[in-house]
Amino acid sequence: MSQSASTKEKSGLGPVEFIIAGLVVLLVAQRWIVQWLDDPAISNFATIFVSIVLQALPFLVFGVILSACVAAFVPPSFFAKALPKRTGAAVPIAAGAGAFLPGCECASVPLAGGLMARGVAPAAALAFLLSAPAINPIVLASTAVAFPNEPQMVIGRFIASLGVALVIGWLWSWRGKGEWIKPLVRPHTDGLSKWSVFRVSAQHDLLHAGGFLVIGGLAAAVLNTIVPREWLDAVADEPILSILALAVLAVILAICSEADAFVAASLTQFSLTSRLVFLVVGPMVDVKLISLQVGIFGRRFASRFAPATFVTAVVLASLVGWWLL
Amino acid sequence: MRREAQAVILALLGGAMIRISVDGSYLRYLKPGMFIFVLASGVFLLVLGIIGAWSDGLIKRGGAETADASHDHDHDHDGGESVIDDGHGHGPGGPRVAWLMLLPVISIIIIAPPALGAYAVERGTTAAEPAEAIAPLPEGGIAEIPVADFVTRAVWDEGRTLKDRPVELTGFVVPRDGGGYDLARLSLNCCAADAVAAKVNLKALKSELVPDQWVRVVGKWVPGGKLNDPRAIPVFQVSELEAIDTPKEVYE
Repeated sequence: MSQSASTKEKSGLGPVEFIIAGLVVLLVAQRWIVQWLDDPAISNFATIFVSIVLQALPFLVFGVILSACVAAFVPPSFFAKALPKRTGAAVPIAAGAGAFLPGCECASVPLAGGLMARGVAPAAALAFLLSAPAINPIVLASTAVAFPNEPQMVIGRFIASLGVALVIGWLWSWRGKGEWIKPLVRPHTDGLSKWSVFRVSAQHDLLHAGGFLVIGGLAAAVLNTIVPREWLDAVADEPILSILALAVLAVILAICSEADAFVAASLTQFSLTSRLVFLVVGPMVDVKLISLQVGIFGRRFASRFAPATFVTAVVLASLVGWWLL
Repeated sequence: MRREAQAVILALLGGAMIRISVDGSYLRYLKPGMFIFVLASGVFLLVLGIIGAWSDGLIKRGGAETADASHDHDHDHDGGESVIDDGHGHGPGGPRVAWLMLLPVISIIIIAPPALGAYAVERGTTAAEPAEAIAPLPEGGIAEIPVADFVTRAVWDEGRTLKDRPVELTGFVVPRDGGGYDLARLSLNCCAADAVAAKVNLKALKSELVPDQWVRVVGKWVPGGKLNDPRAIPVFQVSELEAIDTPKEVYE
């Protein structure tokens, strides 16, 4: 104890003092800051930013807790037994297991990272990452509520999302390179008690994902504020353009997968197929998610994974929509 | 980033979440149902931060103190990774991007952005939501109903339940292109990023109104106008109008 206390004293003005000084300055200057921000566009942006971050944080915390539980309480041998040795066979099992995680996309990113660190093949962990936020019971139920007259939307969402998870999982096991994923650094936890492992893992994941969630929230709030919705109406009657427009909208709005069905339902000027594309793309690729993936898996990974997933999701959802709807 | 800073950031974020959930201002950004999740994750972050700040001093003694002491004054130039090496070239310290987690704290505590209003309505989605079955209005004199409910009754049920019934609506004022005002109310599906507006066009107004002013109006539906179209905006004949304070639950 005395050793660490003396280290802190030596450092003088450390980051903690810096944070405190910064907060004091902000508190004193609050009135001027608020005045300066008194513009409808800026306050609209600030409201949406806070709203996205606040809405995502509980789910991120939930995912981080699950991931830390995996790190602390589930031995690596469990996954070696539970999943087939051949990656090709592990992918469908992992994708199907996504149906049992009642969360949204912010929870599944840290959890997939935790699974990889625990020895699960990346292809299987990625299939889980994609399927979990799209096909779990809460998301399917909210889709059914949002589309009371079109039960085939629920079926379409399930089939298309599961399909994308399988295709991307197999694509990764065929072509993916481990070096694209930044070395999955885990905190040094040898010799710690289980609860300390839990705490250190949770803190580690939160710090790695939290900052990127903020970047994603900022990007989504900017786009949400500056992109006028009238642009959408202009393309609603063009079958191909409307699919692309809603796919891009899903990426920039960054809505939680538990709520996106209600937004899709309100986009009534669009065809059902293009709205199905919106529902399949959204939980798998959006600005907030891409940012989180950069944080957990690194830039080289996200720059390949996100575009591949986007294209696969658009194509598969369009095909399913054309067949079912 | 150093460990004490990480713990402080997590605790601050947790504290901010606890504060806005307890004082009710989270309702400007989220649905009431999110209360327990915001509060619980705020408590988790706060406890994690406090325990972290307390016990990191103990863990740090485990062989890392020499490195820590010698790098104490230049901890910021190594790409943001912690100076405490754990043998993987990366410490249990966070990346520099974790500092950004102070942004929501500052936004929540210092800026406290208001609920969405007229600006969001003008630029966002306005929709008349269809409904399966429409029940008659409650018996009695003036029926107090949500704006979205009024719009649904007017647009998707040919106003059958609204004919000759005085109705009371609560919402805020949005100026209309080419003069006049709409009364609008936003509803959330999950958070403010997915807000959808319900709008009625106010007729027979005697006074000038300010955008975003909250009002309670009593009046009647004016028959006519577009039917069975999600983009239709029904017309409302105002007989009484009263300016009110912003309600606690701003969204329907």
